Amino acid sequence: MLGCREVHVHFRFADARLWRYVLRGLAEYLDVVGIRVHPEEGVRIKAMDPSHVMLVDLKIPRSAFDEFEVDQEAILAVNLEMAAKALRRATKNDKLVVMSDGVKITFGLVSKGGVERYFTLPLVAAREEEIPELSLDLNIVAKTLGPIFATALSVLEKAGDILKIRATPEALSLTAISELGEIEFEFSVTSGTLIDYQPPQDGEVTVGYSLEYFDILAKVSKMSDTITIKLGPDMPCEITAELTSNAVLRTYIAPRVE
Amino acid sequence: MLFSDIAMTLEILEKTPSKTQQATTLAQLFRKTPKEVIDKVVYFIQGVLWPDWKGLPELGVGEKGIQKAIALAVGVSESEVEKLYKTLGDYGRVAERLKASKPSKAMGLLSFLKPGAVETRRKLTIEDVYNTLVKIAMAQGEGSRDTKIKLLAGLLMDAEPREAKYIVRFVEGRLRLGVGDATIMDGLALAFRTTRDVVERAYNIYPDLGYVAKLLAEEGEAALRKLKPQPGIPIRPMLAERANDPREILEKTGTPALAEFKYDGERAQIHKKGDQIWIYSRRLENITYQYPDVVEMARKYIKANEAIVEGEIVAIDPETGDFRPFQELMHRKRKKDIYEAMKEYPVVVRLFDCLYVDGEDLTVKPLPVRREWLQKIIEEHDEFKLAEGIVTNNPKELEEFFLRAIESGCEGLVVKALHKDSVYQAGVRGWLWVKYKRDYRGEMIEPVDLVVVGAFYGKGRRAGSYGALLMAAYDPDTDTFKTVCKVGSGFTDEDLVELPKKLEPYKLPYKHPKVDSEMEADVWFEPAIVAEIIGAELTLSPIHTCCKGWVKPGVGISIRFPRFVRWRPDKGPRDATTTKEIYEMYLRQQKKPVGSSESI
Repeated sequence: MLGCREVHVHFRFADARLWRYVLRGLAEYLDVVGIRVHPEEGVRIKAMDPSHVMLVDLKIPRSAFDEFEVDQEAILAVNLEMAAKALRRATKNDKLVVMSDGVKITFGLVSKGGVERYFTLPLVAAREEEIPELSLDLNIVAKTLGPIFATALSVLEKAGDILKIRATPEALSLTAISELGEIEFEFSVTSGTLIDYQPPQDGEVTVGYSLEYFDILAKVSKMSDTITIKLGPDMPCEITAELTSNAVLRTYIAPRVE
Repeated sequence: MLFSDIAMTLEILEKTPSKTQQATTLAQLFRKTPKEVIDKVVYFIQGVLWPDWKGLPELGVGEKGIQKAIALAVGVSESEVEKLYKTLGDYGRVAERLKASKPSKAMGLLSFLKPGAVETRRKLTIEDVYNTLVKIAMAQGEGSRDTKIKLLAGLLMDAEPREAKYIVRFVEGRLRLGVGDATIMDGLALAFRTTRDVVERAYNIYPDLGYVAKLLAEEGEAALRKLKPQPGIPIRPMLAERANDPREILEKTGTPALAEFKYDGERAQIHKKGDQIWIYSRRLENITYQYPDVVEMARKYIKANEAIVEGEIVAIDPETGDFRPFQELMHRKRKKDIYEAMKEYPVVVRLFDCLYVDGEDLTVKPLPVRREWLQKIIEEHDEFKLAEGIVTNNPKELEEFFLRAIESGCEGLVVKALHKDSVYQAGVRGWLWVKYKRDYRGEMIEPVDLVVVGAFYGKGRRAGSYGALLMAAYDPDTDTFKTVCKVGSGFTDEDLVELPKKLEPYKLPYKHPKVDSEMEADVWFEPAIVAEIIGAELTLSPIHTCCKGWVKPGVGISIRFPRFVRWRPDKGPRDATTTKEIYEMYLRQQKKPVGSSESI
């Protein structure tokens, strides 16, 4: 079904930046990604980096689009580098139009003033890879606001390479560690930085991750309403960004080996 | 095709010392390999992604990168990988050992799959492995190191322990199989019922063993036999045996033989197809970018639409036109400054063979025919012409020509058979060509003080001044000045401007009676001015008169690649280095005691 021929795809999404961030972020790890379009379910981009440390799952329901015309289910395999280049000037004032006939794909940026820019790329032939479903038992759940999480990550990213997430009965802290030092952000319900918190059942849990895999999240969190972080001892973390119109970006990141 | 089948064969090969058994094992693998992937299988066994001459990038993963990828893939720390490496001494075995032992902690997302999803973990195929390795090689530029490591880690995660061992070794560039191209060719010949000669001939004409294997598997032996040289595809060069006795050399080649200067330059195979030019080195690397000037010459002076010619690219002194040593060509290796290097280190081309012209395969023709073609299609100019050579059947003449070659800054001669079987044996070292090189290479460690006795007019930038000076040593026994070398290098622009003025008072309309020279200078001087001269080494010379007949009859001693260091106003002509001192220096240079005698 990959690179399917004779399909009609035409949809318009309110904020082109989401696509810019996700595709740019994935381009760091992958050459090609499959954009799955479905007449009823909307659009889904699911990809895992080659070293199997990060899995990104973006789901945009049909209802999230300003316009949505897809005549059949199809996977549009796009060259990420080229797509990321096409979208690199997308701003918050730009709507994204995506069109495809199954042979090529066009990304259009429509700005508020009515200026339209279109970039057409050939779809690529790629082997369809099944991205497996994960089974995770994550009992620690923390919910915060997107902009708060985005600010924390943008500071932490500059401070180190390793991110330690520590969950105590009272708070969740994010610490960036580098050879030079550490920077810690503490999120708690009492300080108002967490909306909701389900702490570890006993004691505290600390898990370390490579900060580089949080790059997509750092950007997408800015435009998301809430962020839900799920953790477990020695487990991957699941971070969900809830976006406008019920679009959801879910990211799984495997822990570092110490 | 599953990569596990290949890994299994590699393990057998590693444990098999006999080349015949290795070839049989390879033949079994090739027989069961699908035709469409046999090229990839062959490349993997060769330990390459593609032939060097394609000019494609290398994998570019260093030791630290491999360490990190293994750590990432098996879920251990890098220090643990390093520690194990110190014990095992082979990252391949480190990866295998770590993959085989269960990781202490589950790492990577694949460790958290839903039950039943485990089956979705792919078994690696040769395409998976090869394509990922290609991606690793192709990852270039900023951030590519991380990308390469992640791709490798991903591959190792999917690999079984044995597969991981060979993947890591491949990336490291050390498969440790003890299988060379020759054994692979034997394996191919056995698998597809042909002879090694047929496969080897094809490989020599088209040095891409993956391609040759695929062609053989898909179209059979007949397709290999039909392979012809093609512009843009390098041919493995014919190589020469070596001998040091002119008589023996002529016996080997048969007479008459063609003796050509063996220039101290870079052997180059120049391919032309219309306006497109490729230059390949002796090791078949694409070196076109190093020689934009040669590309231009080839376009201008090869009078055929398609041709493959072979020659030597030699550095020359831009001022004097003299040959410079091979080392000067190293300045052409840096891509960035190539146009600057072109000006400072100009080159000339001396051609000696012609392998293909407009559809005609000349490798199967004898040398006289190839030479004829070469003369026919080359429009000779100073910068691009045939190598200097003589046809001879006389050992004495060969020896004299050899000394002339040395004198001209060459390494010696290549003597070539001219008989009807003197075909171009691509990739073969044989007695059809014999190298006649000096059996020593000295080094001139101390400079000498020589007297200016003559000069030669300069050309180009040196017009109006002298291009080179004729220098002589003093012979106190006869009270004469005997010529040693012609020096044109090492002068600064100021030196050059001053030269005519400085030498004017000593100018003579004839050769000074105390000067013993066989060389005819443009201008003669009274021996008066002394200069310090250094060079690469002292060599024998049929032209210069210093120590003539002392080492060999009729032969003097000269300086190879002489260079002016400074004037010696403190010295008079009779304080210059004497001929006896030069003789002693020559003998010392050869580590032979003073007083020993030599003969031809």
